[in-house]
Amino acid sequence: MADREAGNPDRRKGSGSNHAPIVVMGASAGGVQALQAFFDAMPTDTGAAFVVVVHLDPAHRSELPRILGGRTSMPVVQVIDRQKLEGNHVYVIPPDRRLQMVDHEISAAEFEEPRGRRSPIDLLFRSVAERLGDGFAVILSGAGSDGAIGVRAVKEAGGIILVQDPAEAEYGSMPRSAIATGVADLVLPVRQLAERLVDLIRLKEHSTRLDGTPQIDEDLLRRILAHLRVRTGHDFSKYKRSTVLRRIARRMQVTRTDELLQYYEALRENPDEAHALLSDLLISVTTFFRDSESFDELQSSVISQLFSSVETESVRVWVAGCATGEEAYSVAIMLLEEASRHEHRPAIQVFGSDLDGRALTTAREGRYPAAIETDVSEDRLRRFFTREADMYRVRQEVRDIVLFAAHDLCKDPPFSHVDLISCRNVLIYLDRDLQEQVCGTFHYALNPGGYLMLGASESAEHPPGLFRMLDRNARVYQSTAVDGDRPRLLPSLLGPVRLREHVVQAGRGLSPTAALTEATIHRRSLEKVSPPSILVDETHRVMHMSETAGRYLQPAGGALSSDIVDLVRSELRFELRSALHRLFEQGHATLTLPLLVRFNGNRHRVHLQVKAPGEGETPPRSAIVMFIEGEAVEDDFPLAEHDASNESVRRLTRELELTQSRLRTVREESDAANEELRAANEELQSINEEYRSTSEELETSKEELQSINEELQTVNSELKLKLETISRAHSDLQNLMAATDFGTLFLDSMLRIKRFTDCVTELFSVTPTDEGRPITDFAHQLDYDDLTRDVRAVLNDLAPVRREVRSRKDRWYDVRMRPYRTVDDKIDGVVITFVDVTDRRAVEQALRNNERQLQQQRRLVELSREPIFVWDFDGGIVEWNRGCEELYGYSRQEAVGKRSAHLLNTVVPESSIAALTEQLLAQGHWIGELRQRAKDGRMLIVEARLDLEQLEDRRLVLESSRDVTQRRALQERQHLLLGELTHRVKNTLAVVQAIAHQTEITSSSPAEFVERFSGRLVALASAHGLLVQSDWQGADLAALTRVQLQAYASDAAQRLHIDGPAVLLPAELATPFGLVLHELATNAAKYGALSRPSGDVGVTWELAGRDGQRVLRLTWRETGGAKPAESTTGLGSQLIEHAIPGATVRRRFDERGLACTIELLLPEEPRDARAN
Amino acid sequence: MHGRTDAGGPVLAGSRILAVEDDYLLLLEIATVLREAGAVVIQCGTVEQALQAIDTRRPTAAILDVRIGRGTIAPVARKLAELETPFIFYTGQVSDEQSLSQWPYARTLSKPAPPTVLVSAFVELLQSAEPRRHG
Repeated sequence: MADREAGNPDRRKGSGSNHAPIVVMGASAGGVQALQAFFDAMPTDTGAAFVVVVHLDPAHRSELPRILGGRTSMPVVQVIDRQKLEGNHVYVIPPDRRLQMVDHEISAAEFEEPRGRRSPIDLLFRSVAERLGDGFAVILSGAGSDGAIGVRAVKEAGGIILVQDPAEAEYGSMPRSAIATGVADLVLPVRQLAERLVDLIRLKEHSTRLDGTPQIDEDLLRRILAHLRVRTGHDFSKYKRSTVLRRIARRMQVTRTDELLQYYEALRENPDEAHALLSDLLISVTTFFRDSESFDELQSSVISQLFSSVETESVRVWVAGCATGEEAYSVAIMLLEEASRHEHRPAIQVFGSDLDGRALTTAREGRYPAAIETDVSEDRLRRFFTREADMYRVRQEVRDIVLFAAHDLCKDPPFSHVDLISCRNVLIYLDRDLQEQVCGTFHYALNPGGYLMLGASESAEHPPGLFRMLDRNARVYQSTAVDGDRPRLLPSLLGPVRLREHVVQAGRGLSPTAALTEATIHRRSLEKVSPPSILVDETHRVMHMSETAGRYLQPAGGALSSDIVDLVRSELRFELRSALHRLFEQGHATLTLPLLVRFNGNRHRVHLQVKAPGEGETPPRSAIVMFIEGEAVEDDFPLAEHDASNESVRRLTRELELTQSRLRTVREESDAANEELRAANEELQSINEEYRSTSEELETSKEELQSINEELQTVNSELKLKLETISRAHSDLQNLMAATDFGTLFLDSMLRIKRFTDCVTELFSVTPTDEGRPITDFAHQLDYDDLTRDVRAVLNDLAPVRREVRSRKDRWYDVRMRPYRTVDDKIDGVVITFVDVTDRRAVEQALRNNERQLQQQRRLVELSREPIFVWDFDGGIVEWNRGCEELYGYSRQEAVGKRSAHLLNTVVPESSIAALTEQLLAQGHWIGELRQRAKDGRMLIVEARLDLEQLEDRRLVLESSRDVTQRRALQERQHLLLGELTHRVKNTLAVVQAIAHQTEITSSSPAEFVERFSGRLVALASAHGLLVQSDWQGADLAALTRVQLQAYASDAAQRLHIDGPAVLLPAELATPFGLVLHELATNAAKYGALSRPSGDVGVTWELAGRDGQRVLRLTWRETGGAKPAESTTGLGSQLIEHAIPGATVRRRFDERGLACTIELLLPEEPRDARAN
Repeated sequence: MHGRTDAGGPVLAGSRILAVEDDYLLLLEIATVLREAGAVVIQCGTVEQALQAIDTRRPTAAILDVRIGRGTIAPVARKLAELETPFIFYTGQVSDEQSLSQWPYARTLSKPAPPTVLVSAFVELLQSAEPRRHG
């Protein structure tokens, strides 16, 4: 809570009554215009003194006094040196000076801070708050946050804060900062601000009167506080009365209520007012390192001690009443500084607690106006704060160790096991009881020997024995508890809020309105006959009197009182007072001796009877006083003589009366005091009762609280861990956003910008200040008119959208949109990413072209009829073209992946695969002939060329081959044919040689030799001719016969009869057969049938089967020929008989001529003539 | 004419020569030439005849056509080799040389061979065989 009461009440009183109300005004950029408008609207006779502070260029003369002088008829003065403030004057700040209050005088002094860190508005406001206590603070248009601290100070001192509506202000930053402090009472446009200010000044006069008056309706005040307690849960009845009264007075000004009663009504009608009053009561001002000498003392005598022990595991500090956190952060900073001086670093935990939730929010945020520069050293600013715009933010390091909690010191269980408690300027607001209770609470919360630091005018000496004073100036105490003490019980706290308002007796003011009944008649008649009487309450106030009682009344002079003692005739007063006293104090009724009372000259004896009206009430709450009147007494009653005769008695009587009247006064006073004591006692007892029950409750719940406390600590540390994770994630995110070189844009569901990376600024003309504005407001560089439509589509369908879009700068972007899903899977906008894909597209295009070319080239190779294939040197076949498919018979699918040598059963003639491989590795290529096997088993001979290519980590072999099998076979065959030809020629030549020799042996003359030899040679040639015609397959028997016989019969058609089935004689038979036929024909021509013109020759043959073989039977039949000479020894006959291998030849002659049969077994039909 | 020694006696007198040749004319010619040189010639046109003749007639030498009909002379050559009877291959075919390589000591005459060459071949054959037989 820090200092809730900076101003001295005595001095305030003076300011209120003797001095003009002060209006301090702060303005900056755009402020001159606002000031002009303000003074235009401000009457000149308000009686207030206006002090105007603006930010001025130190080097230039200010024109402000002249400008303002044109707007108001009040005197406008530039403050020089020191000046007394007067009403209806305007005081203006001079350049390069600051204004401050010094004893009701305004003074201009030089700045202590360097330029750029000055905040003259705060300075003035703070000094006004300090010196005058209250006043009016006005913040007008301006940039920055100057004044934000000042208004809090003014407000805390009881002043009223007026702020120009930021919407109207030319520069809204200063008004906004002031509003952000939460202390602004009125936020209005300048003109209305001026009007309200006039009202407020007028009201202030009134409220000052109220404040000064001792006659406060206590009942009403109690009701107001009770109402506040019910509404807000905070009980201020134990707070210092003066403070409370002043706050209420301030609220009355703001709500424009003149009377406390009116304010109470307003409070009841308007629920917000309770909270406004609460926040006024809680308003507090604090600064960093307030009272620096106290902090120095704290550092040297306490904080260094906390770190001295190596065994210390943690240092826990509780800053009670931390308000907006400055005190807590100050302590935390000192702890961190101290920790850095020690090797041993215990965990540090600072708790900041306060009633005011709003102040705590500010505290947790840790953001303070730049004006804190005044209180925090540059070194600390650098180390523990980060500059954020015109604010300073406490670094995460410090915020991490400080924990803020809403906590009522008087009501809530305290933090426990704390090493140090700082609670400054809180106790002063509490009454003594509450102070003692809080001290007890602190003692409970502290570890044995723990420290307590209080404010300058506070002490922890009651109740005694809890704390020992360490330093008087700094108000540092140490707990007297030592280790091993039995833990003290938690002192009783104020119980839960309960309405303890005195119930007002409802029936008291009501008069009976019953009809006139018999009972009434009876009562009235009784009244008539009974002695006059008066009903009084215990304060002797007349409550009711009978109609006839007026006779005995004779009020004393002065103001009319309702006190019966003052009302009755003077003769009766003494007796009545003592009788009443007896009744109320002791409960005894009284009947007095007769008193002489003079009525209209006659003296009557009157008895007074005082008794309680009801029964059982002790002491009674009311009394009935009855006047019983006797007969008139003669004037010469002895008594009169008595007083006439004795002067001394008269004197004594006068003295007695004097004494009596003195006694009366004393008794009255004593009564009043008694009364108060009784009331107080009563209340105390009831409270005590409550305390006792509460205490019991607390006793039982203490354990629970402690365990809950433990739990809370665990939860807290978990939360802290989580917070760390979150902040790490946050900084990761920040870095990610900064590091990515593609644009990311976050939009909310209304298409407003939430966040974006730098790259987005290249595409959209946005700046960080544009966050929150709809994206549709911005022009972009993209050829993408459907952007908005797509974003909406993503929001509607939740389906991501992806496009490639060209920018006006001819770059391409891959734009992706997807819905933004929160962690709980709600859709909250759209995330758009822009990835520059220009380079990628270019590369892709090039790649596509290459690919196409490659594809074409590959296609050509694939389609080539030349067998080409590629295999991995360390693996199988990779490529297999059409040529290969055709040559080897394996399809591409069959071949790929197989090892080529294995698949094709490759053999390297006159070498080996190993040698081939070696050469391939050594020279990179190999050329030669390979034998390979096709799929159908054909052996292939190929001329192959192998090239080894190293492609990155693969060794590929390109093998192209040419099929030379056919050529090789042809060559082979040619070779064979040549051999066969040689063979035949040689054979034939050998045969010719034999024919020649044999013919020569058997010839008788050279002529005969020539004839016979040439005939035989021709026969041989003819047979050969037929064989050649048939490609050496064989010779047709019919054709052979015809050829051999033709030369011997000129008219062959008639004389030759050749008949038989088609028979193909194999080559080895054809030649001898031809020779045999030739010899037969020669003989026939020489000696047989053909030697005569009439003879003819029949050659017939037939085929028959025998034992599955074919038998040829040929018959040569000559007819009409001469009987030939027997010639069986000649060569001809030998040939006929023996030339045909395996043939049986029979010859026989009859009358017709020669008949010759040749029978032979035909070999199997020749399959392949050439092979033979 | 040929086939006679310088002394005028038949050079192959006393020798029994087996001639195996499927061509009758060639067989006749060989027989004529060898007989003229004084040899007794056993003519065979088939392998079967030849094998039988070896058993019955115990030739001292032989002249063999390599191809007989559709088969080869190999069985005959093998039998002759077993009996250590020297023989000459008479062939018109160059390629036959390969199949004859199993009988390296057998002489080969190429068709057509003049009668003198034929005779002198046998003379040499028998002379070289003589010491082996008796030594």
